[in-house]
Amino acid sequence: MRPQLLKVIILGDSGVGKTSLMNQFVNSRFNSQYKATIGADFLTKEVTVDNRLVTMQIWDTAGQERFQSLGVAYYRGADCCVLVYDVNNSKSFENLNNWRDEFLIQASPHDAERFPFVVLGNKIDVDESRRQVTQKRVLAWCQSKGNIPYFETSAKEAVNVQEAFAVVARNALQQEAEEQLYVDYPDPIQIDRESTQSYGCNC
Amino acid sequence: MTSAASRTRPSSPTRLVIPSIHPTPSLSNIKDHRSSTLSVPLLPTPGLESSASSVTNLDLNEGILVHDVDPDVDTTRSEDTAVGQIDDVASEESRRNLRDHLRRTLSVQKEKSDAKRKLDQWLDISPDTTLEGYRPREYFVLTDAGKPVFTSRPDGKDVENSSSIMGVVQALLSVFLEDGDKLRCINTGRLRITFLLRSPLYYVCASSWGEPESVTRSHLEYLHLQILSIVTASQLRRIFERRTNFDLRRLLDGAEPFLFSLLDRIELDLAMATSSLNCLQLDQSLRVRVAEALVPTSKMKDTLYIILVARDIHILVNTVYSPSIVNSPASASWIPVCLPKFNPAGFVNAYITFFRRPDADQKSYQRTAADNETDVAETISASNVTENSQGITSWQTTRLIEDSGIGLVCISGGGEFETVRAWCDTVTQKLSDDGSLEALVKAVDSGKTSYFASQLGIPGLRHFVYKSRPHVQITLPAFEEPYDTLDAKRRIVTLYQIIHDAIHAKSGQTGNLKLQYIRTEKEIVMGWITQPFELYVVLSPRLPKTAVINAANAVTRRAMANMSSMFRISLSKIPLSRSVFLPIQNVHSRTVTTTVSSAFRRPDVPSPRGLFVNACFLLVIPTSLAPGQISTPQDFLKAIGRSSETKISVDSWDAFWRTSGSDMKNAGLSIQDRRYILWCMEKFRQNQPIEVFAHEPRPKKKIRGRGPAVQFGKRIRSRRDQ
Repeated sequence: MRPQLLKVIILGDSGVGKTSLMNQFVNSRFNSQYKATIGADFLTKEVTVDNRLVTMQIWDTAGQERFQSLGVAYYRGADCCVLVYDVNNSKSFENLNNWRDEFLIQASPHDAERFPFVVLGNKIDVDESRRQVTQKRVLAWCQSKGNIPYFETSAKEAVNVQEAFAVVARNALQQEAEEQLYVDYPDPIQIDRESTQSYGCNC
Repeated sequence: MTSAASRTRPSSPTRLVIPSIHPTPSLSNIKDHRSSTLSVPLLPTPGLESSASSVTNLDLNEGILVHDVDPDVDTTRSEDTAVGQIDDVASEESRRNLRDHLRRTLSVQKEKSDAKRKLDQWLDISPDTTLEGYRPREYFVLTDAGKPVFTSRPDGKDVENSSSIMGVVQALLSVFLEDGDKLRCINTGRLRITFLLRSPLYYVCASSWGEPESVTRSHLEYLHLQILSIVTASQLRRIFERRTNFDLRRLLDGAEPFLFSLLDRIELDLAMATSSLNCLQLDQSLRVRVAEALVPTSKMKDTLYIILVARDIHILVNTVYSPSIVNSPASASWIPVCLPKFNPAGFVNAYITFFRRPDADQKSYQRTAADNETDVAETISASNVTENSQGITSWQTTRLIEDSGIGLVCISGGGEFETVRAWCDTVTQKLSDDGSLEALVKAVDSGKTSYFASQLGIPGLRHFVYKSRPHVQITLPAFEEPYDTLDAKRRIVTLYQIIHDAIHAKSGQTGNLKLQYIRTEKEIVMGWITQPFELYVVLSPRLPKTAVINAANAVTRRAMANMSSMFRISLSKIPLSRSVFLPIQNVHSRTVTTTVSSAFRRPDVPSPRGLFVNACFLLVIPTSLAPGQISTPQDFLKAIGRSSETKISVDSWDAFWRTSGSDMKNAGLSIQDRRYILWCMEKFRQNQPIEVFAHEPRPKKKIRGRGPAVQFGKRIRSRRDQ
């Protein structure tokens, strides 16, 4: 059995650490230098979830507003969406709403209500005094959006990153499994319905 | 390489005259024939316009198969939503700039990284082949979400790398799709990456063989059709409408052998390359006898009608000869197949059985289990059990020897498995009883069905492909020295493909060439297209042009003379067009099934001389036509007029279609009537509407011979016309 492919999209304002999170997860590396992502990057990583091998294809998108119109192409067919904000930046948290809506509009998943999201509050390594978004506030928001799992992470110090992505993979897989594919056996061909068939060679 | 192309005046359609070669300024471009798309000098040759007519009405069916413009690109939706997000001019502009930038960088990156990756990979697969060798082409199939569906790479190898390639491809294609544009191919050095978009699936082929783009594109098209034959187009569409992130591998699980065998086959199969069928060379009387045995009996009559085209047939042949079917210990298989060109929405059922050698124990291997709901794997395993329970342990090993390699395939629309099975049994019985099966097997075994170019005794001729266009069939000799190695075959096939591409103007050349001549260091290849046929010849490189032309003429003459044994042309004196169309109507029943009976030569069993042909005969028998108006032969005779119904009387369609000209003569019909009725029968068989072709006889001529040039005050001929 080949590993299944899960497509994961990371969204969030610019500078909240999306690329760092992805790098930390895939390569276990951190680079403190900031370099804006252009368009989108992606990395793949194989992980084992519940004894199943899956390939995660992680799409790291650019946070800047000017790149947002590129979304559709990347969002299509995503299995899970990771929303990232910076705990030291309340604006980035408030924008999560927009990111989520934008994703739902553009990706238009089949079952928008139950599409798996995961929220990550990044940069918890920074001094507690500069924190602007309380855990309580985030949890309330997550609750209101259908119990989105929430993790506080640090890409720099590798806190909670593996755990968060494990949940990402599990939720994506779960959604896959829940939707028991109902492959209806197709209708037999009505060969005698001449009207639908044109005469002559249709090559 | 010298490439010369010249338009010739067709003095007669079947005879090639040495072209009056005009000084061609571009003849001097000497380069490696695989280095780029072939430059095709099309010379404006005043005074040779007369060939234009024969050029323009080359209405080539194959051209339609490769859809260059796909109108239903799914860009509208994304455009709409995007517009909703961005409405001010400034951001619109920045967006465009960005996309341009992205397009530039992405394409460059992709080319580089892909080329490098491919190169690395190839180098590690075949370290000892030189750079000029033919590395396996790579194929990828992915969904428009970037999820892998299929790769031609061996299973489990380099999964991570493949899935990133898929991601890159998806991103790349998306950027272009956003603009309503479609990426067709990327050329980078010798490598060409061709893309085919068949939403919701994307197909990619990377090849460095130097074949025209249209070739890899058609490979991808075949791949698409093969996938559709497994899941059907409508099912595919429904699934992806519901869930864009669906992993199609779940549905295709177990079907990869079909795709792999398709890719193997497509590499060297010239019948597929020329969109035609390859017919087994057979004695005509044997062909007729076998074909007659395959005419359905009354029980099978309740139905009818199929249009099978070359592509569907290839898909079918491929399915039949996939290792899992051909080597399956089951004596017969019953599988649902979608013939996408016939009806993309549903399955028909294929009953596949291979004849056993007549000398082997003939009875009782015609059993299968399973109804049409069972999938292939289950069918096979189910039959496996039955075999094992019989205690035939050495079955698998003995089968390869006992198996005649000739299979019978029966396609039906309904699920009447028992009827089909019973019919197939009878046919098998009939064939072995009258000895045709034995004769057939003998013919196949003795190598009579294949031949060599050298047997034709044409000096310098090494290989050729002759395609009879009205029959959509090709004939070709087996490959022999110096083309007995795989790489040499690949080179020749690629050269054939280049010429095929050029004379059909598939890569956007401005006009069809009638004649294309390529000289490489190792051989001369020439392609020649006329109304009745296409001919591709390979000759020794030292021959002068005149000898090449003579050889081409000689091959044509030979092919025309041996038409009846090389091509499946007639059955019971009924001239056949692309398939045997025998309309047999059942008055009582309107239900329709379809019978395609074919006996196929098995390509994977190496015949003594490396035979490489596949289809042997193919019989498509519609059993009713135009329901409503024509239900009996008498109706038909009445409809065609000239009071034909009073002249002959037949009671059944079966008898009617077996009526020959001499039967009619014995019945006392005049020659005009016989000609007209037989002609109408042919038209009817071709599904042409009766009201169009039926006509009253022409008024009797009042003037003998050609008559004077001016008749009734009108000039009907002029010397100037000549």
